[in-house]
Amino acid sequence: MTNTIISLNSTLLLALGMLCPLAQVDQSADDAQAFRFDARAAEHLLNRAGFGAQPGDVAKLLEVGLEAAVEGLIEGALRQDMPFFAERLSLRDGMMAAERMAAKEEGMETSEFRLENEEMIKAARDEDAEQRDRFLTWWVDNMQAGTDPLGDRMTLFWHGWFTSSRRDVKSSFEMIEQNLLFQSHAVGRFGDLLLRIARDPAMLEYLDNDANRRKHPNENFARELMELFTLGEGQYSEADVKEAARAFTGWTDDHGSFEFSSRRHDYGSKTILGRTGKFDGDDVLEILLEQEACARFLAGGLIRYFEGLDPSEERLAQYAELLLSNEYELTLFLRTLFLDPEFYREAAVGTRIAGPIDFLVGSARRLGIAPPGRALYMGAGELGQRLFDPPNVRGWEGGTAWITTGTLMMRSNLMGGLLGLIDRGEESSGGERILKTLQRARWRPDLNFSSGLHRLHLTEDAAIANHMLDLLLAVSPTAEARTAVLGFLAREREKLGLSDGELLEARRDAEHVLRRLAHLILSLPEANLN
Amino acid sequence: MEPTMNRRTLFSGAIGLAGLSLHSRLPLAGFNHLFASGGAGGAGGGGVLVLLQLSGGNDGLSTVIPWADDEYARSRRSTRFTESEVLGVDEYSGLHPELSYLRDELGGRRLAIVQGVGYPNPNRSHFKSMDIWHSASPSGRAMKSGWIGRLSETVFDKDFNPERVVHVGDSTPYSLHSKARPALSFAHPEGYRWIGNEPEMTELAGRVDENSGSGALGHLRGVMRDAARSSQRVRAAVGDYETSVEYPKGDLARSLHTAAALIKSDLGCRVLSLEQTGYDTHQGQRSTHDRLMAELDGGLQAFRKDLSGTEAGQRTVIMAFSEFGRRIAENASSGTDHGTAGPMFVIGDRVAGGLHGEHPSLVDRDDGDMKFTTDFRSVYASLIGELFATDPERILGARYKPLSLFS
Repeated sequence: MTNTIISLNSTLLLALGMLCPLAQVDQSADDAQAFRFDARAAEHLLNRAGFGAQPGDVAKLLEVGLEAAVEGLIEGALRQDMPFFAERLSLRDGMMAAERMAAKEEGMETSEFRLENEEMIKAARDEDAEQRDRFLTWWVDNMQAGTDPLGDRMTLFWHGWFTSSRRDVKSSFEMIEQNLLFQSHAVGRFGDLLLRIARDPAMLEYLDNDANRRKHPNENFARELMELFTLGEGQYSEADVKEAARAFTGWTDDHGSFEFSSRRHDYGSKTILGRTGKFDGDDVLEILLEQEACARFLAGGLIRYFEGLDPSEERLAQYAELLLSNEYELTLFLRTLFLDPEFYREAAVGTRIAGPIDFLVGSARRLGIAPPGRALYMGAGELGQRLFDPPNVRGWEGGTAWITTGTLMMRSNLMGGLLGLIDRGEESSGGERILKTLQRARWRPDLNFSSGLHRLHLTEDAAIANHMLDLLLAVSPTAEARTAVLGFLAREREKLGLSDGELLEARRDAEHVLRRLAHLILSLPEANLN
Repeated sequence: MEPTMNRRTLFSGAIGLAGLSLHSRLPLAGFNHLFASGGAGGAGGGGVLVLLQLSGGNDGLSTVIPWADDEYARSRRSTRFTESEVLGVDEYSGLHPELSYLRDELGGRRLAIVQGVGYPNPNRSHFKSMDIWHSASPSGRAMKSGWIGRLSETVFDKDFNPERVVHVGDSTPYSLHSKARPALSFAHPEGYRWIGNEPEMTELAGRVDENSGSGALGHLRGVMRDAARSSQRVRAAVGDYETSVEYPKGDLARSLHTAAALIKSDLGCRVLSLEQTGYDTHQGQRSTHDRLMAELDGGLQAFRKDLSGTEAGQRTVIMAFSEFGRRIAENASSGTDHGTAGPMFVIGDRVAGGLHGEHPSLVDRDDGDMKFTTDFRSVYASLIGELFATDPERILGARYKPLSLFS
């Protein structure tokens, strides 16, 4: 295993604007303050910047070293590959247009129209749901495949930052377009993303800005823009919200395309955060980006998301400054963060509770299996993270909120299902649906623990236990975990009448034991940390 | 030509059948004694609240039917009930013919019907209106927690266990949402366990004591310990539950049966949340709604019978509500569209039965719909005070006049 001592180049030094012992690159391995990019750090980077390590990923990363690894992640996120093509004029839009026409020309009531066209309406709904399902499956499959871990990670982050929900936005096309906007601007300039999200039809509908007009202003978007998307609570006044709402009047959408209605727009003078002028929405966004509070809020949010901990005031100020002085350039921010020794500090490694997507996708990657994305996004929904449907405009709270008595056991049960250990009929109704999905897809996990262990000449209980723990956990196992796992292994081996070292000779029985061992490991408290 | 009969006429005249009480406003001071003495028995009030959500928008005019109102007769065709069809309540209204058990409860003064319940600036979107009912706020889900979530955080702050608030069903309503005091939610109690490795996990969980450790890992270990205990407790309570009462078939009855088992156990459940879906009757309303009424009545009858005579049953109050009523006028598809105000049912041994509030006028409309006469948060306030011995303002964020729903 190679250890790489990171070297900070001068540009980064300037950016960080701080003197730290590492600035003087010390190649001495004895330097207690030198940061070692070891296996644990490599796994940590993969857990946070992506969705976890597949077998072999850590070794690859150590080979190229931290800087190259980080560059690779960023380059992947900047690359614009073939996106998903969502159908715009779905049956649904056609139906709505027909409904309106029937109302207008024939005076037909909505309910009457719907009764007459019941079948077509159902078909429209099904088509819409099917497109949504295809997209979410595609997105989660991408996360599993891991060709663009940072891009997928940042897309998930933006989905929870600039929230919208399909409960209000009834068009799969619009929700998908919003998500593709996040993907294409995942690591670009925050300002660019902000300008575009303010015109995003799903966002306009979700926060009612499509109804925001000069004569009847609607403050919902302006409020959340300041409170949740840019400045944070307490950094603006009610008057600011009112005035900003006026600036966004007339920003609406027509069938999933942004439309500016001049007739509805309030062209008057507004005063926002101390500035006065005939501002429109873009002007307001520029004013917001100029605020130190905005840089602090975003910097804090990103650090908290990636580290799972609140940053110190000093660090927050430094990273906020990084954003403010570099036009909110996210590649620079993320590069700095992933090269920052603090990112790899003891308190931050292996101490974050994995959200449902992280848990399911991460576990699948560590197992080296690829269940249908549908099963995983449905599973994540059962665990409280329904993609395209956050609980409220704040997104997902995360942290300990993910873990209740019910969800903790369900995580274990879902893994049991993915490992092929649980039959339908035993599962709860939520898990039932996922098992049904796997069955319909005729998917079985492609696993062979025994052969892996054979190849590595690991036959004794302790060696097997250690290997499986290292493989399946995203974090270092506790002594308690090792004891539990060893105990299980020994008991099961003894049931087969074998001595320590002989387990693998039992072939099929051994494989079954190992699979149950995997299930046990993935049910441990530690399995929910990354 | 018979004179137009409406609620206002009745109020000014003599009031009909015996056994009915009229809405009267209790001065706020009347509640203070509850906070001092601990309310309906036991710490934190001791009451048990069963929240029954009728999802989709229940047609109030087909539930508490103003058969005598000419405007009702004019506005409804296929969904219209005549005097001879309804279960009589008074000179103005009657209950849906399938609600025979609820009619008994009304007669026995254990069912309070709160009329015209709604809120200002009604929202006719399912989700948005439900969010308002769940968060007890016009800002809906902008509130970080639901009203029951806030209740749980306040009342069970020191005294929490995972079974305090339980949702029996598939999707947990936002009313229960709370980060600090999460609700328990399952469709079937048998699914609330580790499957495939229960012995190993139970053993592992058993080794975690009250000090589970700090940080994220500590939290996880603590929840693992709680999960093992909770899962065992819940399945014991429901699995071992035997009752002589015969519950009807169907999801609602099944979840009521589970709720009864939980309430009668010593788990300390204080809020049970249940749902009956299907009320969004835009077309062909009659047959669907009749069926739902029958299910509702049959389920509640079995549930109440199951709890009758028990100590827990005495402390239990059921609140049946819907996210909005439906329009006064029937539509062209033998159904009704989204409306505004509607009736709420509050059932329990301690309930001051009868009609409460004022039936909304069917002529003085708000954009074609009924104007609400009682804010739903007044009902919430009454329940919070009575069952949980807590100042409702702490939970609801504002003062709402509680109703005299309890004797």
